[in-house]
Amino acid sequence: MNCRRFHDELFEYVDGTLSADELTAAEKHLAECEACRQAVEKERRLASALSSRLRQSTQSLTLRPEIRRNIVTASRKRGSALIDLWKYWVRMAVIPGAALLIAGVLLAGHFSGTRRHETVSVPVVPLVSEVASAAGNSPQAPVLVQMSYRLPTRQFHQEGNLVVDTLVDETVDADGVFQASGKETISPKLEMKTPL
Amino acid sequence: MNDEELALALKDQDSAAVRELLDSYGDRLLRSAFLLCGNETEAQDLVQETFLEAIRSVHRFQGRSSIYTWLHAILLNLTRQHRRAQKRIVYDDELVGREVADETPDQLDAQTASSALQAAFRKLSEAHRDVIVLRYYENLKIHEIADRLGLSEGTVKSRLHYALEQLQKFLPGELNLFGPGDTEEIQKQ
Repeated sequence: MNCRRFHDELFEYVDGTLSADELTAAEKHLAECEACRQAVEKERRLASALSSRLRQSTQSLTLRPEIRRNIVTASRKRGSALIDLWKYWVRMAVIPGAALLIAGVLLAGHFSGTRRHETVSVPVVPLVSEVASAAGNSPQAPVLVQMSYRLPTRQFHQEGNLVVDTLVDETVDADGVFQASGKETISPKLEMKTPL
Repeated sequence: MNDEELALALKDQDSAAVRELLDSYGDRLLRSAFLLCGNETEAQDLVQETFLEAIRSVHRFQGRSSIYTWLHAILLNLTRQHRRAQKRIVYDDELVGREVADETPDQLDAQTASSALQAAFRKLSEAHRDVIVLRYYENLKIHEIADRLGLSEGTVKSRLHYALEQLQKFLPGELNLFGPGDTEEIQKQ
């Protein structure tokens, strides 16, 4: 190791952070070099003096009481803020959660069981008679019947914290063939299968 | 409380832990902040921000360093952010320098010496001030300073050399920390 290399590693030598090999080389160089020994001494002396002077020059400074109070108060506020935040989230999560649970139960009840077809019986005698006479056919002839009807349907939606069940109409178009038997006692009903 | 207990108490929002933290490290951080920023009011504010940030982010403290090291790292980051926000801190260097220069060596009591050092310190660039505070006030090793400032070790050493040269230039002769006079003083201490 030469002087230039030693000066590059002077701080690490003083810090004691050189590797074993580097330390061996540095010690060997120091044993032979008065200038580098003085450089080490100068750095140690400077570190001690500067550290001491910096401490002396700032030792009168203390944290102001109001700053201490601000910090302690803010830490308390943060604690209560956390509690408030927790309450807020409980309010925000539990109420809609409960509403959704109720809605879920209602919907499950509504749709429980297998989907079924509902039989809708519609008196069609006047209708068929009108259709037949308009077509000039006898009532016994098969008649194509087309009709539309409005089917009540429930829809759910959320309004604030409430789940609102709304009854709306849905228009369904249906058609079928009516074959009257010719007897007046025939049940003049049209059976339609409409999925609900 | 040791550091680990203190960190746990802080996580539990324990006010007693906050007070203990302030008692243990408040003044020490303030003095370091003052050396870094050169203004007591700003230093007080920076330390307040440091503690508040520490309380806010205590969940991130993993115990790999001491609490003081962690607090000082927060302080250093806040100081550098503050400088960037301020762009430039203006000191009345001429006034301070004149006051010191008018003193004779006999009049250089401890208070004057402190003022002289502070005045010289304020004349340093922020980059030079940072490395000197970390090296000679916080007693950090080169690799620790490099980590703290996000620099290479070579850059830290280079900055230290220049910073010491500048400080030597700005200090009055009577306060020369680099001559043999101080050796005797240190040996007496």
